[in-house]
Amino acid sequence: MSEVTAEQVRAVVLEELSEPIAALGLEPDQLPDDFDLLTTGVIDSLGLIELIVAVNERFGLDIDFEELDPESLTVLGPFSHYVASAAP
Amino acid sequence: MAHIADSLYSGFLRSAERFADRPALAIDGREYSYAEVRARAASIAATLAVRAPESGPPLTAVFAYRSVTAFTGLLGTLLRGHGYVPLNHTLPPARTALMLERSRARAVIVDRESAEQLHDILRGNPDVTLILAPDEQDVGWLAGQLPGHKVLGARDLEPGEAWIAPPVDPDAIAYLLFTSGSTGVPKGVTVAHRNATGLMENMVERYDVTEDDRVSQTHELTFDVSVFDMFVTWQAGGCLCCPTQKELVAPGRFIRKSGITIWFSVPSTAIFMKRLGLLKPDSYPGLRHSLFAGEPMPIEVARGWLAAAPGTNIENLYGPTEATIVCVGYRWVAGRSEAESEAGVMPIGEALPGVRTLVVDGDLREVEPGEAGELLVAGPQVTPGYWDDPETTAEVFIVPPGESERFYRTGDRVRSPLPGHPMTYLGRLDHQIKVRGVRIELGEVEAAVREATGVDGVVAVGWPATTTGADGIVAFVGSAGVDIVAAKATLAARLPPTMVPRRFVLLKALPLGASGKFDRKRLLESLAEEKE
Repeated sequence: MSEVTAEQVRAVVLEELSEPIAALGLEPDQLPDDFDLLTTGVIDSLGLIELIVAVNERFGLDIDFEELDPESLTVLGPFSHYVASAAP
Repeated sequence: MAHIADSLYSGFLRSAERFADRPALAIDGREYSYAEVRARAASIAATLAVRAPESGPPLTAVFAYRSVTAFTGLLGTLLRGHGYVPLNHTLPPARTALMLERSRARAVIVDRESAEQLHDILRGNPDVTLILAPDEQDVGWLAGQLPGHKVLGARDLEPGEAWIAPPVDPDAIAYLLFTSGSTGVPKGVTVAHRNATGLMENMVERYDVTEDDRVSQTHELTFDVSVFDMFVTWQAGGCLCCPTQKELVAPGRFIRKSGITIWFSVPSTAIFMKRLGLLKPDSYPGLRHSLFAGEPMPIEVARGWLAAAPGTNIENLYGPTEATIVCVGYRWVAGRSEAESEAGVMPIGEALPGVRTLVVDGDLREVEPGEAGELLVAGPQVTPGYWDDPETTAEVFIVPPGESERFYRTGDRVRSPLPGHPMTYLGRLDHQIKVRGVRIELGEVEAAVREATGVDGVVAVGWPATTTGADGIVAFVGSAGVDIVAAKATLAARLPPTMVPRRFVLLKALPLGASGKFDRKRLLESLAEEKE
């Protein structure tokens, strides 16, 4: 079983969202860990759920979404760390 | 405070008398009683009456997002005797500016978060004179940004105790909503008080809504199903539970934490909950009713939802904004509904009380039962038409041959029901699609892409297709030399995210069909072939 790191998750998130991020004139590499994907308008709430589905599918995970705190769930750093820590 | 019967807010005022101390609104971790919501709204109404100019159309814009200001502002507007024009700061400011300008509203009620966009939105607006931020103590910063506008805050509010709502003409506009328009600009749909009041009463009865109910408010105020959420709840004395933008991301948690008894959302939310495993058996035992509208509801999702909420009634409701929120409905019956469904989605059912439906062919003649045709709707819910657009109004609000009533042409293809069977939804007749429940005219996307690229040959299609519509939009552009990144940035500044094409395909020339029009079918097939 291969380990999933927060960096890998972050890279997948940025890849999945490359278009909306570019549309806002932002550089994916420059985004800080406290960048909030929801409040900055990169994605809406349904878009975030789509992202979670995509991340689960990419890493073959089945993360229990209910355990996530909505406050940090939409923030780049905490999201990536949460997915990595929840992975087996 | 006296109330006048037959206006959209009469039910709220009656509940405010009967259930003064019960919660009317739960939002952001706080509950507001009926007395408190009424007091705030009455104060806003009184302030508008004293401080807003009398000139212009009887409309006030409410630019607030999932905040107490949004709800009290909208109620205050109605108690003032105005119709409300909801605006949403998560949409591109250029689009909001266009809606506000088209409404010609003179006053804007605003909350803190949305106020930060006002500077951009009011630029060049010739009509707005008053900005009211009823929940802001200090509005100096905002006044500084908006020279030439009268900016009022919480300290400037007039007392509301003595406010008496003026008599409302049942034909007066209750709200003006903008939907995607095929010609490239948003279309304003005007809805009169008389269109909505009967529906609210019927719905309270249909779902036996009482003061003990806690109803979800997931829809954006710019989407008309939110009118159902608010006014059905308030008519019955229940509590409207509005998730914040963040809470909306975890709908399962929200249902349990808020003690929701009546859930209403677009099917997309349920579909994603199912994909995320949030529809585990018996997860939501408190739900009495689960309502879905805005796009087709897949039957497998309905089954999953029923397992998660075994005590619930599930309904699929259908209706265009032009016929006031919902006008046809279908109640799930285990064992029977699977057989009655078509193409894997729930039927839309039968006309709600007072609504008349007709399924017609291209000559507006009724088709035989079992045949497909366009759905026409008549009855008290059919709205006056489009704001400032008599031509489009005359095109789609019509009296068919042999009829005396005015019908709205929905543009939706349905199967005319056989006796004893429900009506089923088959798709659109035109180029309107739904992306996650949001109604989008592909013509509007195409017009925007033409403008952003300077290329005339543009076709937008919904792709990838889903059982409910499409996941996004792909734009075909007939030119080899287009700066896609720049075009996307331009579009993102103008269009809501769901309307911005996810992908551009550049072709030297777009294929033409037999009629000489661009061949959409071939373009869609080219996308399907790619996938294989």
